[in-house]
Amino acid sequence: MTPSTRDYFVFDDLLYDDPARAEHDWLTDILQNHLGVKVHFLEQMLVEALAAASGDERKALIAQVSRLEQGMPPVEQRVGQLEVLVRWFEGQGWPQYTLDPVGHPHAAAPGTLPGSLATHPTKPPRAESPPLRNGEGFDYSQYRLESWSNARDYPALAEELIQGIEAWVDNPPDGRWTMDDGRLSPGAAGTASDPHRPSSIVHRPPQASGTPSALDYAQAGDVDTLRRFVEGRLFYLTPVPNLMFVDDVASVVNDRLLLSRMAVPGRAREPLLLDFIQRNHPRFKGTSCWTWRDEGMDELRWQAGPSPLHLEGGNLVQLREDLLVLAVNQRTSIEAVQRVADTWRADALKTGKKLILYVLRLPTGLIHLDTVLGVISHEDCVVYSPVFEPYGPASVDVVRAELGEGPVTPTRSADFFGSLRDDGIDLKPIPCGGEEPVDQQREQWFSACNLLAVAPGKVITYRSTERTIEELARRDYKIIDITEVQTGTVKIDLDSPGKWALKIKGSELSRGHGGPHSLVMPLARDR
Amino acid sequence: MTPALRHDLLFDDILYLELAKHEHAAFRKLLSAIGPGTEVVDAADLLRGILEEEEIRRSLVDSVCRLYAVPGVEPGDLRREMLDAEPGQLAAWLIEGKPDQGRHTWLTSYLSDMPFQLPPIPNLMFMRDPCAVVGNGLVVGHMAFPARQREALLMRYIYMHHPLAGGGSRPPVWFDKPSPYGIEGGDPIATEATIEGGDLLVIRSDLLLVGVSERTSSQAIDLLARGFARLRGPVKTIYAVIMPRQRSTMHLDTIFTMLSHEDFLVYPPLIMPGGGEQVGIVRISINNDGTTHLEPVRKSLVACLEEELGRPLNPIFCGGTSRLYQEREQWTDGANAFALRPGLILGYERNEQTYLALQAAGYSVIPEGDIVRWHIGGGDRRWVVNEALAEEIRTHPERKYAIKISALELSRARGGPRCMTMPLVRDA
Repeated sequence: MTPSTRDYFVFDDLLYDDPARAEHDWLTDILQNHLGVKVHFLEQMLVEALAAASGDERKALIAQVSRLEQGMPPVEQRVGQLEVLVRWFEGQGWPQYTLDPVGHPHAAAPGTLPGSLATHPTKPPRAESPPLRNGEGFDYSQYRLESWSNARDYPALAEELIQGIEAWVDNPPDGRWTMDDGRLSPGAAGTASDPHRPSSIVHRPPQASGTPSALDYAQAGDVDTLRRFVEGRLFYLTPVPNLMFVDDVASVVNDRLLLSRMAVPGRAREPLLLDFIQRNHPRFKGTSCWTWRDEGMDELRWQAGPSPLHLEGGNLVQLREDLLVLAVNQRTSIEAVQRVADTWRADALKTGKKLILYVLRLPTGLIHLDTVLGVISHEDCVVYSPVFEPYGPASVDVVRAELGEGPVTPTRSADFFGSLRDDGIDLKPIPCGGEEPVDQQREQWFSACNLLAVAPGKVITYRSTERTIEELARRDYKIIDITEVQTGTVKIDLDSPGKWALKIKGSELSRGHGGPHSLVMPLARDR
Repeated sequence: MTPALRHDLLFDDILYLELAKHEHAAFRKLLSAIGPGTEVVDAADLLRGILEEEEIRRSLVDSVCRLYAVPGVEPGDLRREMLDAEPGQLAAWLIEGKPDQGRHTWLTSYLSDMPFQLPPIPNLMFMRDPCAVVGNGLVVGHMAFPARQREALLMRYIYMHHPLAGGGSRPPVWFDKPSPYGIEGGDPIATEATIEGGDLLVIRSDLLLVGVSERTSSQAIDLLARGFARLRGPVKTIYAVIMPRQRSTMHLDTIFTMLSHEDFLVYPPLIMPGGGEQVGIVRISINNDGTTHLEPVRKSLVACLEEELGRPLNPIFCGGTSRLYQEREQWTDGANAFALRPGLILGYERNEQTYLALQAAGYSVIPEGDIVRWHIGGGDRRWVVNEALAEEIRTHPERKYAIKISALELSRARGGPRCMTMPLVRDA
């Protein structure tokens, strides 16, 4: 990620990678080694799924990932058109790139060279062999991913599907820019020999006849390279850094999964990877865990842009086996909620178990329900108070519906917790940040409501949410610092009675605006 | 600061206050530990000092009230409360802001995102910008964004009145904008003039680089040149460096800083020949008769300075040779190092590729924690200085050191070590 691309990746600021990795490792260490939770790593599962999948499945994933990437203008241009993004967020579509359903979207984008037009799929097959020619129609990222696949180097393939492929632009001290020429032989270089280069950079431009100039590339017909050079484009394939917030990509509903369809273009690839894992990982093989997913994503021409079926896992909170809360906002569309509700109603009719669904319309600016509502035990939840105050200037609109026999009759209410009490769920809201509006706003920003309950009354939260931690302490939560657990001064477990809140370091992790809850997707809970 | 206010207050993200304070304290400790004969003074302390004097307090409070009108706050009430406050309390309000404590008499203030009667000025941590020392005189900043205007006002008062900051003797002022808090200015040149210290680089006592940037306008540089001419200031040559007006390169010192007599940290895309977005350069000479002469220069900045200084210079690349890392590390102030003395520099630890480039250029790279660290143990909490190492650094002016500062939070505020400091007197 770079400063010019951070808006595309929906980060307010860049992460300092090493501390971010360390903070993440500490969190997994706590879960695995101190709490005895079995942790599955998404990248590892992707590697295993890639290894277990058929060649056609892999080819289809790669084709779709590449197609998705081409379906949008280069990141730097996308960032340059922020007003377009704003329009798109406001639900007005993304007209420049979706007017022509058949032609390549680049054709509509000003300032791109026509030679960069890529493949036009005529039918939507799952597996289509990509043209591996140089010049016209050549898609380097697809070629490169295919090469890893053919070489059976699945760790490298998984790594690049997540971390992207950097277009290495070099500015050596003599002032001449050079660039990666977009060719690769997998296995030849393997990993970077220079420890200071990212491992995804595995080869250098041919040096035999001196450093090739931009003109050389143009004369060789590699128009794409020239275009990237002139644009200063940084990625062949963009990374998906938000995949760290895995809870947004899918959510567990009872014993099944709800697959998200990300609203921001920079996250569109994430559900494809998860869907691939569920289809091909030996653990799931032959089953379908999805309670709902956007069927359109089976098509090669599935796009991130215009469809209204956005749904992100952070907007779903399950309160009881038969009671679910979904929020509608810029990340989750009402159309998607309607489809999910239809699916659940059909299920309810089949099983005879009725389902209560709350739909909350969140005020603008709040990206996910789990950033304002964190349920941490059968009695307690941490909330961003202004949103749940009935009739406040910024409060939610609450709709309740029963899905089952008979017609769906939604009712509206202003008091979320009051309405829940009528359904037999008595939650006492704890204000994040305490009573002061300034602290509430600051700590909501630091993901104070996005804490992870590892068991009822046992939570993990960022240490920067100090006032919220004070509120928890006042309610008999024992406050523990992560260093106390790491040094062995304090032991924690899931079984002993008593409530605790574990403070973890999150100076870097918190910058993506997700808390421990978003970083972890609980697959199975027994408490 | 709150998330809703962060863009108005010119931050991309909000800081985790406790850690930011800790990092700043470490930085301050480091400066006094390794700087030969360095005395570190805090602007807040100086401000408290001058507020002891009734006359200054009254005049400053009046200026602040003229500068600000927060919707829904009765200016008369605010003024009275400020005049009645203790100097310490008043100084805190002037810097940290005065919260509105939830008492609203106005609907506008109840519904507003601004929970302050007097907003805070968090950017004051970047001491470099509001008021800069050039030679024996001052360039009083006129800040480009309203969020920072009070900073310049406070610093102006401090420099003019505090004996430690040279006040009392009234230093010459090379630039002081006719501004909302001073003289009325109807001159179109004057109304457009904005200038911030981060755009000023003193290369030699008579040679100044000034960025024409998001924050500093050409009008201000014109007035500055005339200021030097009129007062017969030390500066005889100004190079105006014309930069893209964008947040990432807000000041000249975000793309170019001087490390020693030969070494410069540069952001290659803007500074190096063939970088792709090279800056434009105009040379302004100030003649002895008080006139100025303007001349566009068709050379790279490094070539200009080599000619001017008569020696070869060594540009060191912020972010190394990769474009991606150059962009990343420029953003986190990789090119913004603070030189305590020639060849002893401080930068943010996270700019790893920049440190590799510095190492290759002969700098010994030392993490801050090797010199100062926070000791906790046995009920004892204090800073511990590794005296042997600090002594070695202090007493070897010929050696080159690059100190890595931990700045997980400080780096969020879009300013580097150079921005956080303002050398009042230098002897090297």
